[in-house]
Amino acid sequence: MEMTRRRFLQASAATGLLVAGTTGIPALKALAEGENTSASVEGKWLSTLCQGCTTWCAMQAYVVEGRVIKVRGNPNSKASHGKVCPRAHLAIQQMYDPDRVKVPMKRTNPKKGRNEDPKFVPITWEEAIDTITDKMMELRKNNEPEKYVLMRGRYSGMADILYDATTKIFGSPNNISHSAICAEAEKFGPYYTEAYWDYRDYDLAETEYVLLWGADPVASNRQVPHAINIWGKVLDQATVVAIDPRLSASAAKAQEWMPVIPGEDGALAVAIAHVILSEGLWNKEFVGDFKDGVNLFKKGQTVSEELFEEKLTFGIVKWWNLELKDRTPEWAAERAGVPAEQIIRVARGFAKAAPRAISWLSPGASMQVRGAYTAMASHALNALVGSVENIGGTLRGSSVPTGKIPSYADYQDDLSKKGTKNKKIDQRGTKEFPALKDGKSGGGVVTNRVADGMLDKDPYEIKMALAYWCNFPFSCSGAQRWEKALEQLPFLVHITTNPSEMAQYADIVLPAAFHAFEKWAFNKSKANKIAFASIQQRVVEPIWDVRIDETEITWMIAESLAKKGFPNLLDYFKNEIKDPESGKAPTTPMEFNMALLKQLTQNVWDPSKEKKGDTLNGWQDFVDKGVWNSVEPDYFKNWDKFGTETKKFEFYSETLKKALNGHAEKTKTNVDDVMQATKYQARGELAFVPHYEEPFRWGEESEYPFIFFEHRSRLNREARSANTLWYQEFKDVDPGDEAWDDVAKINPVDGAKLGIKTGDKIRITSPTGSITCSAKLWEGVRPGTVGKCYGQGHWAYGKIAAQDYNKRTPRGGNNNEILPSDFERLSGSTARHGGVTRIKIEKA
Amino acid sequence: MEWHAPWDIRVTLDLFLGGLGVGLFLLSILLTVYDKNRYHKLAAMGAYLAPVLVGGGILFLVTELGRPLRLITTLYNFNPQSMTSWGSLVQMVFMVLSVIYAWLYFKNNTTGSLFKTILGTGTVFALLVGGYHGLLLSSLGRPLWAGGMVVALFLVSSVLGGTALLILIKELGISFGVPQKVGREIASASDAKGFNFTALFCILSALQLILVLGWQISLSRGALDTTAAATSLMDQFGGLWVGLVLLGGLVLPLLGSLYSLIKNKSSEMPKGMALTLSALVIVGGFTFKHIVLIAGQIKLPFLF
Amino acid sequence: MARYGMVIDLHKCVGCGACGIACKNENNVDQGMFWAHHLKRTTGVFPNVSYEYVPTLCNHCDNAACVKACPTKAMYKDDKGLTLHNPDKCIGCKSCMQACPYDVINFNSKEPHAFWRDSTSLIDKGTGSGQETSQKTGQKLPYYNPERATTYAGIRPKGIVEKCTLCDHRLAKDEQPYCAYSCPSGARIVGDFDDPTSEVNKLIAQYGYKQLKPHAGTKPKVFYIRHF
Repeated sequence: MEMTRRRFLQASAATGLLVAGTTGIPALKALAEGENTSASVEGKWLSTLCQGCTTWCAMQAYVVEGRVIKVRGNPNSKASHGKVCPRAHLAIQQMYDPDRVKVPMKRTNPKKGRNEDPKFVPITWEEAIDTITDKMMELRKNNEPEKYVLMRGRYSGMADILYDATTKIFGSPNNISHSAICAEAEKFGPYYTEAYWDYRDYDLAETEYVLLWGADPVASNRQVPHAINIWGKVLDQATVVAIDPRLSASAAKAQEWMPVIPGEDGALAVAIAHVILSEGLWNKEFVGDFKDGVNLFKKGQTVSEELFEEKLTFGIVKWWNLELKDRTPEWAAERAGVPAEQIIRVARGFAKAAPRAISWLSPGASMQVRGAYTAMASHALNALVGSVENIGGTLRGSSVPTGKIPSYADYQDDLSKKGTKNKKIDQRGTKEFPALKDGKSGGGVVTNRVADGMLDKDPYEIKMALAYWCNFPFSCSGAQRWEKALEQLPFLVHITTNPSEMAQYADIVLPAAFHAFEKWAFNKSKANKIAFASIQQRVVEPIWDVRIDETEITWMIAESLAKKGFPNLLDYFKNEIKDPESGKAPTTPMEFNMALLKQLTQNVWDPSKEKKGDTLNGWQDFVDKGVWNSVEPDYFKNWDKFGTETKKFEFYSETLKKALNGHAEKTKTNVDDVMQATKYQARGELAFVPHYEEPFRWGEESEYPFIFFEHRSRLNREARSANTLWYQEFKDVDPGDEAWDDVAKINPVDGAKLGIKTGDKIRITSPTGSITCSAKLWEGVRPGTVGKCYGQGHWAYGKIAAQDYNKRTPRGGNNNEILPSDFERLSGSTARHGGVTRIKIEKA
Repeated sequence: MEWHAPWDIRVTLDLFLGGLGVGLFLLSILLTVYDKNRYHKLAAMGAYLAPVLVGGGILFLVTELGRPLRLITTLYNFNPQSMTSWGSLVQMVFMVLSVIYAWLYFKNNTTGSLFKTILGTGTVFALLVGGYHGLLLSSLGRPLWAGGMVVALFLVSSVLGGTALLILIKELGISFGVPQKVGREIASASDAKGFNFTALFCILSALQLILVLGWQISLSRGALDTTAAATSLMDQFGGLWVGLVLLGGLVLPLLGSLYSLIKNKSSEMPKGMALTLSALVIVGGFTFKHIVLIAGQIKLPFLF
Repeated sequence: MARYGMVIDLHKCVGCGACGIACKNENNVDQGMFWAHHLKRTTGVFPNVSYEYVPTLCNHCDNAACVKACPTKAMYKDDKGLTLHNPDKCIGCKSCMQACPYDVINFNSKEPHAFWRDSTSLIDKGTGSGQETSQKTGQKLPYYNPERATTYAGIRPKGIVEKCTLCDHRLAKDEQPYCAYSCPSGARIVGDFDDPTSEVNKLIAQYGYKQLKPHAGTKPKVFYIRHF
């Protein structure tokens, strides 16, 4: 590296002075050792947003001479105590990833497949956009715009401009989000009990008891910096119980670990409810009481509904009669592999802490084939102890007054109106896939079904896909189906930072701006009782020829479509998106990005707009501070008006009954048949109350003796950080895991039986796939089960993530190649948890 | 990731070659004092080889340094608390003394006061260098090296090695740089009572065997980290240790030389046996030093 | 004189590794080296299992074995009680590494940051390379922190050792060491043990403490309080 004269002088001045001052070494010698040392240049902390997980923390980047040096939590962010978790630091190595896609590329090998070199060659942005819009116009010319699909993974608050408006104005119903591979089954629980389809917030500062249902708050899911920061206090004042098949990071610090057999969480939830009711420990203020005050909830005995006077809940007696009366701790102990005494102890402790008690749902206990009712049951525990929207309990969030994109209906022509009326490619709303988001049949996405829809051309063929910030052949279970579906897909555009697995199937690869430091955008989230909006700022000029996925590229497509005779999209952008400060319509991709950003966030930064939270002094103030904080939500806010059918917190869900009946009617059948089609065991009234369902597993025990379960890493940036050095060097911060490796955690008892030692290379085979990785004998997993972290096993993405990118050799193995594609169908979720498959293990 | 010892075989080579050199040097002085005329040839060989071996060892050591060119700074940045500093000093002084000693032998100038001074100071510095090897290790406080026994172990190993090397030289009749008349002198003095190499060999082997076994016993009764270090030594190098260090390098030489002494206490071992056992001692000594060096650096898991 | 050191509250620590990562970031530490790292231990038999995580770093010992072992006084104690390393005096003999009971000293056996000199790109002209990235940013390490160079070699060259300085360059500006600054749980507290009113003294008085290998006689100044 050449050192400029100016920098040389600065260097000698700074190092010389200080070193001479402290140790008496001549300046020149110090410089000789310092080598790369330019002087200390004062940098600047600039506000932006981390999207390494779904917490979406406001953070700041320290920028020196146009480089990001380091990051910290945004001190203005109340939700995160001004902290970030370890993930945020990895963002730096993600941006400076040597394997970044640096220019647009096109495929020159028409054959697609894992072992086909796409033979990508660089092209200009003009050629790339031109090729894309040619394909789009061809679909319109052939009156089949519905054969275009937009695939979205992670996204910003501006996503709708590409995800929704562009897709619908073009004329396709197929805007497919990743949400259903994320956590939709979890949201099912609070929705069908209290009509809240969202993540909850938790009043950790005030709580005295925390039940973690597969949740690992100090490592992942969700509000990680807040949880880490407050966990010492929580452990001081509360009992923490981790219900998890693995000794997770949170279990390691918890007072109680309930190492549940994967998928048996529901047994524990209903048994805890049984204990609370049979011992008369429920919260009378919230639930009510028997009219004469005598507890009639006795094991095995039904109760007459008239004898109980319910207050803020609905159906407590129905729930007892239909499900809970026989769900004793002894019964649960046998299923879940957790001693009855522990279940009783935890149930009593939880109830006695009421209402300062939290039952914390997570994907682990709900993203299971039969997990919807577990989500309901574990959330219902909050109501039993009256902790719903109560001090020290489970909370909703305050609202963030960001805007929505303007209506685009006027810009849809007849073809697009007709096109968007088609059924979606993910088969949502069919009998087998109710996807009952917000109570509507087909209300939610069934992300992982898209591969099947594409392969089966059901309901029709997909000819073109535009995919951004996603990597479905890696991140979806049954990953091989995605590889096949993409092999067949005639035209794929992938907007990505890295040559990912998905990019290997692309016809056009577009280099994406890296979210944390190269994009202008915003997002909103909540934690620590604070909802917030945070700016995402381009803190440094990108070193590669990248564009912002949702806006800049969309504008370029719109301009090109206009030139080719379809101006509607560009007209919509020009007419409806205006810079709120200048009133000017955008004329360039970046102007469009900034106008949209300012328009959508105007309520937040414009001091003249009324809102409950911080007052910012205009746009620049928002950029500088980086975050707008809401006020804390009121406790008890929805106590008299839960949005359910009964306006109460429903133990017997009239809301779900209505949704299931609606779905059955729509698909011309009955609820029992829907239960059958969605792999549930419940029949009749049981379908409307939280109840136990036996876990559904792929594979026979005789052939596949071990139950496989997966978990998350505290360093995973949604499987996008495995190509960083720090991820690999610190992978061992996940309990039981090893640096630079991908290990299957096996109990030493099983290891001895199999003749397998720590470090041995093993092959894991499920009924649908096979991977190799390293064995790790570890006491933190139950004999008979094998746990493995998600995130490693990339066969592309970069030279660190993959063992050998050119040979497509993965580092370890991707869990999604052994996890079969199955679903929690009521929410449309991918069922990746709960021991969905059995496996066998051999030495490799 | 794979673990590498900070100090690799180059440090062993310094300890080993340096040890041989010091041993040879001490033997050479011993023979000079015992009967300078009779053993002139052997003593000269020892005198010549000592600086070569010690110097060779230092060369290996210098290549092990990250910044070899800064070696000289150890003299003016001298840290009196650092055994490495002292080692650097005594090795340099010894090199100077042993070169002078060799030069005097080469010039056959073994009677002057300079020669006598060198005999005295050389002996002191040879012992310092020989002692330094173990002191360096034990000063670092690593569990396997801690305690003073390593000092004695390394010193005796060095002298034993030097003895074995000298026996090899003697039996193979290697000689160079020695005036013609010296050879004749030795022959003429042959009926006087000679130095008994076998006895020295036997005594040193016995001594070292006792030291090694005593060391191992004391390790096994030591603190937790000491026993762990000893266990990991045997886990990783048990076969080599028992085979080459104990049996080949000490027990066989002891038994062989003892057998020879019992048969005839004033005669030397037969040539074949002398060559074989001496070679074994040298191999065993190298193995001993290398294993102790490497095993001492193994990182042991610890927590409070 | 002052005696700077650290208290680590294991009760607050969740074992996330942010300290170790942030340290590498702040100090431009190469792949494979760790100034701040961790020890882990899983004990017991399922289901009665416990997992412990203990963050580690240079103990800045009062009686530092590395300082004693160094033949050139390259390792030294400064007036804040820190154990520091002078790269200009270091001869790379590694005596300090051998002497340190805590394995927290690293040796630069190669020219550091080779990762960023690698010129291979996965897709010719389509993806970047380490070399190209470092050239574009004008630094040997794209996120090179120049502030590190104010008191120590910014990047330590081949042939010498390197170690934690308790961020002496930050302490000089009244800033916390970056590991403590970046700890999301607030488990790392830095202060002067010679100051009876300091937070660190209060904490060890309140909770008692453990030290790593106290029997080594090094008088370590990283005090662990409470339990993981």
